[in-house]
Amino acid sequence: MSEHLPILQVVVPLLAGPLCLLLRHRLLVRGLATAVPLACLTIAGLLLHRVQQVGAISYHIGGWAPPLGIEYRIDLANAYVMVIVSAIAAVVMPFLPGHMGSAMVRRREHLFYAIFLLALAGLLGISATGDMFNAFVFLEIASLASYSLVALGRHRRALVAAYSYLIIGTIGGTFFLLGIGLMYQMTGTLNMVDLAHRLPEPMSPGTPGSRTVLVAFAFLAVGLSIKLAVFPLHQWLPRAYAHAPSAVSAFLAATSTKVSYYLLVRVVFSLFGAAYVFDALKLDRLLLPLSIVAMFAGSTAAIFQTDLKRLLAYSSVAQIGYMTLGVSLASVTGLTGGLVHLFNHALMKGGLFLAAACYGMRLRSSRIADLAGAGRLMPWTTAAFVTGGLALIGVPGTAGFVSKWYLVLAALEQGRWLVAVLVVASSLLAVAYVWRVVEVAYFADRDAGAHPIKEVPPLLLVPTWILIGATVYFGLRTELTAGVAEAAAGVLWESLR
Amino acid sequence: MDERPKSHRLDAPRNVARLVYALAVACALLLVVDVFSPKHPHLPYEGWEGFFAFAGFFAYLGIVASAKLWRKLVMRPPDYYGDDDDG
Amino acid sequence: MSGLPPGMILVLGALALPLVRGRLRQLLVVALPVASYAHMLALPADLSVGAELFGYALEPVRVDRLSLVWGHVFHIVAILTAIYALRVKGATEHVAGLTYAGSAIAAAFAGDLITLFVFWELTAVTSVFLIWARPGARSRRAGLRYLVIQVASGVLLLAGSVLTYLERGSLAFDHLGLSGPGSVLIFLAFGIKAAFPLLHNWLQDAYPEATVAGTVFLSAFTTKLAIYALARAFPGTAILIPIGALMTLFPIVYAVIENDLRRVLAYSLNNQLGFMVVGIGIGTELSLNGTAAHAFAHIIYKALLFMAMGAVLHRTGTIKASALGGLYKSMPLTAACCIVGSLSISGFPLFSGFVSKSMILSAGAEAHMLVLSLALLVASAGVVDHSGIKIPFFAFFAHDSGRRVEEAPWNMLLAMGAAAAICIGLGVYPQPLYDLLPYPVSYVPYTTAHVVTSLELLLFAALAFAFLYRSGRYPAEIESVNLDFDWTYRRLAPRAVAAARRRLAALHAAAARRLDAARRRLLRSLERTYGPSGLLGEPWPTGTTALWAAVLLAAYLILSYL
Repeated sequence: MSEHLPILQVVVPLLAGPLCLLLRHRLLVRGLATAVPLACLTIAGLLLHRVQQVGAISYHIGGWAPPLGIEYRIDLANAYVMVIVSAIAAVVMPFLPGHMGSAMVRRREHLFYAIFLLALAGLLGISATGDMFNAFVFLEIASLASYSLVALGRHRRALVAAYSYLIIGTIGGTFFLLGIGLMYQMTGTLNMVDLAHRLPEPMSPGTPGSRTVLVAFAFLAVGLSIKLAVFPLHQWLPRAYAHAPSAVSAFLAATSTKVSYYLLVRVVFSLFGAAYVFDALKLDRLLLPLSIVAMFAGSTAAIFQTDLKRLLAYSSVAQIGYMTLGVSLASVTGLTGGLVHLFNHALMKGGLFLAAACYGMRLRSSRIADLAGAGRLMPWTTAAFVTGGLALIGVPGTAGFVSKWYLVLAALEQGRWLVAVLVVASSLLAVAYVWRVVEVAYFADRDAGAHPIKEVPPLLLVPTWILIGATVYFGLRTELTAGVAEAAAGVLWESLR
Repeated sequence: MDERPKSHRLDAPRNVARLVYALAVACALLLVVDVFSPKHPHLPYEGWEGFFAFAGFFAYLGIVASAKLWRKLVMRPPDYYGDDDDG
Repeated sequence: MSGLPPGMILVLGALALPLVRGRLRQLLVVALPVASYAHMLALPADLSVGAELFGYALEPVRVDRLSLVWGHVFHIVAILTAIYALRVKGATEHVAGLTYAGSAIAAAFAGDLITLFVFWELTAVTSVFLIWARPGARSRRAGLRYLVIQVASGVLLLAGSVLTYLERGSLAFDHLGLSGPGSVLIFLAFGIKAAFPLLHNWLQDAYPEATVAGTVFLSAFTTKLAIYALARAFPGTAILIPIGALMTLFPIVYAVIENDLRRVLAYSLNNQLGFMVVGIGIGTELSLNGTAAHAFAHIIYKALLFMAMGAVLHRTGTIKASALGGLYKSMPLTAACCIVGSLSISGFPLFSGFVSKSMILSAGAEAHMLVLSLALLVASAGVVDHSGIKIPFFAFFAHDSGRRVEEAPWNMLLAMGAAAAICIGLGVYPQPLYDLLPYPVSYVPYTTAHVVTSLELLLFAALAFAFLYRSGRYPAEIESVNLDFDWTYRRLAPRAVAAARRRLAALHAAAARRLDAARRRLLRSLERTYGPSGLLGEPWPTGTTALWAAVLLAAYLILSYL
């Protein structure tokens, strides 16, 4: 049984999705949908444990050996990502029933859960697979499911947002596929390990294939940058997250971009190798300025938002900037910073969006101005939001501090003072947008005529606080995140060769 | 509390004047003591008789004078910053 | 138990305060600082506790003679202030005050820069609630300004610590001196909290806006923690001498014309810090002892003065000199305590300020610093004015305002009485204080020359006041705002930003029109190229994103050919 864990990780949610359609009964479906992410989390935890003990696991689907057969390859990096993804899925689950937008959707709850589980299967599949084409397939499964989830938002504008997300996402997917195609043309293989072995030959300058490989990389990088919402390809993200149901925003913000980030890192470091990407292709020359612009533009945009979810979404654009900054610093420390931030940002943004979902449930609005008085009337939710906000700023004692610490350290290692200063300076912008919320929630008085609000039930508070508490826990106990991320960065850096 | 207006010693201007005279007398006595007290100066002025008296008096006048000048420059109405909500 | 940083009992224990009510809370409010003091006293005299975080060697607890001076006085003032605040309703002020005191104490025992930073920021975050606890938009804004500046100080400290680590490979919080960019940042961080000239304004801005007890708490810890940090890391740094001298001088002028008596005390606080900074700058054993002794004495008498003014505010509802006067009739005990504080801060023989300030003055004289000594002389005359005379005179004497109020409540009187007793006790018998100081003391404060010259200075300054006041030349109390450096960020900067924003908005509108036109042209040409089915009907951002994707793709390709 235990040797089949890699495939179970993906197959369980993949089969559970259609099973929801068959079951139809509300309670059965809910039970299944609650159990599956927990099962996935258990599997991911077991896998991470195994990988830490014995190193990378290679699983051959159907017994067909790679490079012909499809291989699932679990190492420290993707085991880490799978733990995050399935943990977030398990935590947001209690939020789903209450947050499914229109009544039409509520009558067909099983469809909603089916899509959600498919998205989960897609995200886990991208992480688990060791095959590029397989990764593309899962990327599309996850993306298509995400489009439909976004479209389920309360307002009709969610449909437009989902549509633009679909168009842009498809462009990204197409770019990714083109990149895979070009690589296949040059090497005749789709298996990642095999690719890593065969790519150097056409990569070497002067050989006839060198330009094709270069174009392949450019397509892959841009395609994934779209999925990852790297500035200036981020336009879809604020709209999608703002209009999606809050719990979906929490799930997508915490997992979808993270998996894309993982895939980008995998392509950059494992397939092409740091030497090629940074010396020959000079990825950093483009990605570094873009990351820094994202940090500032995203945070600045967040400051001026009037909608809480949109504010969080623009903040995500900025936080993604920190993650890509980690890649573009081209060092193990930088990559560690990026991976730690991947984990920490998943916790913080997941927690913050869940807090926003709590507000949304009681206030029936996500406008910041409507939060007036929430500090007193919904103390636990507001305290969660403030703690998450502090983590976003990077206050010591929270997880956000750990990731920024690594990023600053990586910048200083290379003598890039300016970058280090900019990382710190952009954190100050986060103070501004977090403060805007705090000011309204704690200091503004609720309108006398507004409908009464009260704290949300523990069923919703507990998941929110699990994530928020985790940001504090991992801010103090850094060896768990930073340790694993550092080892994963090392694994990626050494590449698959 | 006692509602009757109590008379206090310092309400009488005569008593206040007496206090000021006492202060002046104390100052004069100090100058006398200063002349006879032993000195072991590190700085030149520490050896001069009555220097600290002189310094105390005129430094004080100087401070108040410069404060009056400074007030002309920096004084603004109390609601200048527009946040005077508690009067 | 010894691994627990001193002060942590306060920080953690205070969190339990909201859970209890009534008598039990009052008991706890006083018991916590006492317990914390007992914990500190039980520690060995030269303790060092090491720890490791992220693989960096830290020293969360370091007990030595220098830190113990601050440990003692911080605890004493925390106990006094807790008593003073005993009858405050609601938990906010108690929790904020005690966690603030605890984190300041823990910071004074930090042996490395990271621990220092953590507690440094904690003092900022906890203390701001003492300002916010006072209702009203005015204190809310003042608190926000205060918080921003305090947190900025912490950010500078952290940045400086990282740089220092990279320069020296050590995070130890020891003598740093001004060498390299890291130590300069740390110096600035300390400078903000120590209210260096031009970095000072948060103090006068925020302290008078806090609650009655809040201001007493605030006056004791933040700035004196900065003095400790400077004494630890930058003793003998020459630049501190002119900085300190300037600090003793310029607040005096403001103190003369300020009408809010707690703000007068805030300026006076700034002036007293100047003496301590000078002592650190001189850097001899005598001057550093002087700084430590002066910090000790100052914390107590400054707390006493703020307590007295707080009691007046508590009873009358105002603290404006123009609205007070004659209160000695109804608050005689408070007036007496206030006068003890005034005599102490003025450096009157037999009061605590005399035995501590004269050490710094003597150190300056012994080093033959003529200009400095004269400057401090003038500053001493200034102290006589603002704290020695102005505070008690305008609150309790001057023209009778006709206010008849009750004497301060018993707990406030108890706190003030105890503080006054310490002021007199140390002034009469300074040996216990001298025994605490970091270096061996052979200093004798009570020589004839000292006593005579001090009395001359004080009494003749008082004479000058009597002359000015009776001849009607003393500046009248006028309700007003006096512009200080905060004008730059409360008026100049917002105005400049508003002007810039208008300008930018105009520019932006013009640029947007032009850009829009250009974008339209580009789009039209694209449409012509790709036909109506291509980009037609799509919402704008989608098209833009696609365009950007193409641009990025091209950029990657071009870059690799460069």
